[in-house]
Amino acid sequence: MINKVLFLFIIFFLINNKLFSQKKDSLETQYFMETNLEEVVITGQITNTNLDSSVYKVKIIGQSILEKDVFQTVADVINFETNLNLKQDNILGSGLEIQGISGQNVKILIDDVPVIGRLNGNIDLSQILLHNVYQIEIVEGPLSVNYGTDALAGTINIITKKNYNNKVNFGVNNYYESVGRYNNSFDLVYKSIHHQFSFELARHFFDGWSPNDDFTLLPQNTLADTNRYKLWNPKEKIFGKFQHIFNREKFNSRTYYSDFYEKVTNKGFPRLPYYETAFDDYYYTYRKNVGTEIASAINQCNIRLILTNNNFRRIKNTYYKDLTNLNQVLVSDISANDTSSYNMIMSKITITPIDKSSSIDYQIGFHYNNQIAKGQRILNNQEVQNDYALYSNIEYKTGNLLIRPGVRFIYNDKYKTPIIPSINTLYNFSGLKYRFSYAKGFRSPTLKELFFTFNDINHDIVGNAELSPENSNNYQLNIFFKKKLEVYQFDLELNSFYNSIINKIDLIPSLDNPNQYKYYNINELETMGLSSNIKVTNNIVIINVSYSRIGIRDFDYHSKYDFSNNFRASLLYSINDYTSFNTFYRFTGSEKKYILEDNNLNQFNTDSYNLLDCSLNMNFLNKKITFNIGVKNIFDVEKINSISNPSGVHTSNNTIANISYGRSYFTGFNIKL
Amino acid sequence: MNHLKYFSFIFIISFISCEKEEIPINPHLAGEVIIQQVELEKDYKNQVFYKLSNNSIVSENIKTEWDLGFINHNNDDYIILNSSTFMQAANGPTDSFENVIDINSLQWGWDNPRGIDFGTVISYELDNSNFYIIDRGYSLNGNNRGYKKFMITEVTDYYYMIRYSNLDNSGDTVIQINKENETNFITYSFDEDEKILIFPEKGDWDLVFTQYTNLFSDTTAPAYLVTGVLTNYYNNITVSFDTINDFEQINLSMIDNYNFSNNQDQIGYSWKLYDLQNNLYVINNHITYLIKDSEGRYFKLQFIDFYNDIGDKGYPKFKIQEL
Repeated sequence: MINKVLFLFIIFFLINNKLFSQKKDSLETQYFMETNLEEVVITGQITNTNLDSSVYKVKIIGQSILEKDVFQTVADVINFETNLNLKQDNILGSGLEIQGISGQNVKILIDDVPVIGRLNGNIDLSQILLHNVYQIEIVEGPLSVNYGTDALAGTINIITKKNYNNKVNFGVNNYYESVGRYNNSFDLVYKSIHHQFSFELARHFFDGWSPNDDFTLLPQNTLADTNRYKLWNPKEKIFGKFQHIFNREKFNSRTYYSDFYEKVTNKGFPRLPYYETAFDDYYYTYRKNVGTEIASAINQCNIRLILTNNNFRRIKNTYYKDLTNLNQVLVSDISANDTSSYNMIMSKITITPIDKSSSIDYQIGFHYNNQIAKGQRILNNQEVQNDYALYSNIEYKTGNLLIRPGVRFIYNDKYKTPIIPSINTLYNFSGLKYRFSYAKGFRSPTLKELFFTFNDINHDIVGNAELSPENSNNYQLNIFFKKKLEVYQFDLELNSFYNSIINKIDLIPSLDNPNQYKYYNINELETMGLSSNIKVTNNIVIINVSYSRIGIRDFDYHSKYDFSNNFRASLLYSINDYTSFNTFYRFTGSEKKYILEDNNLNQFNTDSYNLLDCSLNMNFLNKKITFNIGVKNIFDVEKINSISNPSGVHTSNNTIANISYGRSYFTGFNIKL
Repeated sequence: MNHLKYFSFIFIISFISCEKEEIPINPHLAGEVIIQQVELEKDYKNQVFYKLSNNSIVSENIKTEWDLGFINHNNDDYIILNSSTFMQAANGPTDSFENVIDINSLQWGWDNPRGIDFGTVISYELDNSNFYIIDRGYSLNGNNRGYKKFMITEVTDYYYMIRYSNLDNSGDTVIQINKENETNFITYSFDEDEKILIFPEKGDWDLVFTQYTNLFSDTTAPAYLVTGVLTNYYNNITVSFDTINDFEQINLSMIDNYNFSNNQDQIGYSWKLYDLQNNLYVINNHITYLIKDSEGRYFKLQFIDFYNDIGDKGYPKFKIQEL
C-alpha cells in the first residue's frame, strides 16, 4: 500500500545548512561542554536559531543527556522534564500532560512531521526509540500557527540524527536491564560528497513484569499458571529506517522510509474455578512512514517542501486459551477483535525570502493534510478529512526588541475552523531576556470524536458530526538570565503561563437519548502555573534544577484551582575525560483528584513520589566504545494511591496507579566506528 | 580483550531474548464420588445448609426458629416469609392497624419459591400505610403457630423499621432491623421478638435442604408444603439437569450443552416421587443435577435414597462429584 504513494518526494534542509545561516552567538571556548554548541532550535523557527535568540521558549534535550544511554525511548526521557507529566497505561502505553493539559492537546512531531495514531487521545511516546534521536525540542504553549491542530498545550519535535562525520559509520548499541529489557540497535551510514545513505535497525524487547517475578537473566519458559498475568505487559518493538540525503549547495533533499512494529501481549489471569482457561489479548501496532523533504534556494527565497505519507494500523485480537494444552481460538465477539487504521498524507511548503539587509524576516507556508480513518467503530467504516491551511510568520527586530506575529487560515471540509493568531516578543534589557507570548491554539475534533460508533450490550457511544474545534488562549511570560563567569555559567529562568481552553470535547450522556453517550463541546479548562529553572555549567559539571507549580480548574470537577508541585534535578558530572556520572531526579507532588461515589464527588489526594536514576558512563578508544552501568528507580517506587484514568475522574474504586516496575539495574555497551 | 567479551555478552543476551512459549499446566482431576446423607429427620424439622466445594454441612437449624427474612442489601427492600412452616400473609382488610380482624375473610398469598424476583407476598412502597396479617404456619407437631399483624414503617439503605402485634393488639412492637452482616437475609423471630441468625454468610453455602412452600396452578390447593432442596440463588448458584446420560458419563466437556437456571427451586422436590400403592417414597434416579457454584466450579449430584438405615424418611442421600 505504501507503493501507491510513491509519488511523494520532498525538500530538506535541516542539516548543517549553509543557506540559512545559523544565528549563533560566538561559540565559547573549551571551558563549556558541548551542550552549548548544539543548542540550535528548529521547531517553529523561521530560520534555525540559537536557543537564546529564539522568540519562543524552547527546551532542548540534547546529546549530553541522550548519549548517556540511561533513556531508551522518548517516554523515558520526557519523564524527567519540568511541566511535563507522564502517565502510564499497561495497554495504551504512555500519555503526556504539558502545563496540566492532557496529551490530546500535545503535538508530537518527528522532524516536523506529525506522529499519527492516537489511542485515547495520546501518542504512545514509548514507541519512539531514542537510538537515532539527535535532540528533542519541547515548546510549551500553542504552536498552532505553524503546526495546526493539537499543538495547543505544547509541541514536542524529535529531531533525528542526520549528520555523520566519516565516510562509513557503523554503530551497534546493546542494552540490558535486569527487569527484563533487552534492546539492540544497529546503524550503517555511507557518505559521499553529495549523497548519504543510512540504514537503521532496532529491536526493543521487554519480557513483562509482575511484583512476584523472579529474576532471570534470559526469558524463561514458564508454567501457564496465575503468574502468567503481568502487571507490565511484555512488548516487542522493531524499528527499521532507510534514508537518503542529497546535498548540493543550493539544493538539499532527504528521502526516507521507516517501519515500526509493536506487539503487546496481555496474557489474561487464569479463570476460575480451575485456572485452566484465560482470555489473552494481543495488540499489534504498525507504523509505516515514507517522505521526502526538499530545501532549495530560488530567486532569493528559501523554499522548503515536505511530502509525507504516514500510516498507522492497530490490531487487537483476543483469544480464548486452554492452558492445559495451549490451544487457543479467536474470540468471535466483535469487541474482542478490532482493527483500526489511520493514514495521513501531508504536504507543506514554506517560503522564506532572504534579505539580509532588512530587519524583517518572514515566512509563508501552505499546509495540506488528508486523513483517512478506517475501523469497525468508525461510522461507515471509513472517514476522510481534508485540511488546507495558509500561514505566515513575520519576525521584526528593532533594537532590543524582537516581535513575531503570526496567523493561520484554515479550511477543513469537516468542521468550521477559527483563524489562529499568535504574537511572540523577545526583549533584551540589561542582561535579562523577557519573552512574552500570546497565542491561540486549537484542536480539531478527531475523526473518532466526529464519527465514532460503538454499540454492543454494554456500550452505546456515538460521535458527533456537529462538533467544533477546541479553542485555547495561552499567555506566557518568560524571563531568562545568563551569567558567564570564568569557569562557570549560570542560567536562570522564570516562566509563568495561563491557558484557557473552551469548547473542550467530552463524552457525556447524549442530550437526545439518555442511554447513549455522545461527544459534545461542553467543557472548559483553565490551567496556570509557574516554573523556574537554574542551570549551572562548567567544564566538568552540568547541574539542572527546576521547580514547577501547576494549577488546574475545570467545568465539572475542579471548581477552584487545584495546584500540584513538581521538582526535577539532574547532574551530569565528568569524573575524567573517559568517565562521567549522571543522575536524574524527579519529585512528583500530590494532586487533588475526584471520585464519583454514589453520586457524591469525593476529593482525595494522590501520593507524591520520588524517582531517581543514576548511571556511570565510560568511554574507551576515543569514544569508539561506550560502556554504561546504572540503577533506575533507586527508591523502588511501584505504585501510588491515585486514579489511573488520566482524565481525572473515575467512578470505580480503582485507586492505584502503577508508576514503575520498581528498582532495576542496567548496562549498555555501544560501539561506534 | 575484556571489552569484547562484555560486548558479546550483552549483545548475545539482548539479541536472543524473545517471548517464550508457556508450559501447559496439568488439567485438574475430577473430584471423587462422595456419598452424603442429610438429616432433616422424619418430621422434616431441620434446615440444613450445604457447601459443595468442600462437601460439608455449614449449619443447620430447626425450621420454626424464625419467621421473616429481610434482604440484606442496601438498595433492596424485599421481605420473605419462612416458607418451611407454610407461612402465608394477607393484606390487612381495614385501614387501621388496631381494628379487629376476621381471619376467615382474608385472601392469603405466598412467596414464589423460584426467588424474590418472581414475587413476594409482602412488599413495601413509600406511600404504603397498608399492613399485613401473617399466618405463621405450622409448628413441628402440626399445630397452628398463630397470627401477627405486621407493617413496615420505613426502609432505608441501612435499616428496616417494622411494627407488629398479635391480632388482639397485644404485644405491639416497633423495632429497627439493621442491614448489618454478610448474609442474604436477616432473619427475625416472633417468638424471641428479636433477630436470630439462620442463614450462613452469603458465600459460605450453596444448597439448603428444607421443607418449603411450593405453588401449584391447582386452584383448590394453590400452595403446598414439599421437602426438597433450594439453592443460594442470590449468590449466583445455578442449576441444570440431565435425564438422558448416566451420572458416570457426564463430564466437563458436556457442560456447554446444559442451560443453567438461577431459580431457587431448580433442584426442588421432584427427584423423589410418592408411590401411592406402596406408601413409599421412591427416588427418580434418572435425574442428575448439574450445579455451578459461585466460583464457577461444576458438580454433578444424583439422589440415591430418602430413607435412613432404620427406614425413617427425611434423610436425603445423594452422590456428588466435582466435574
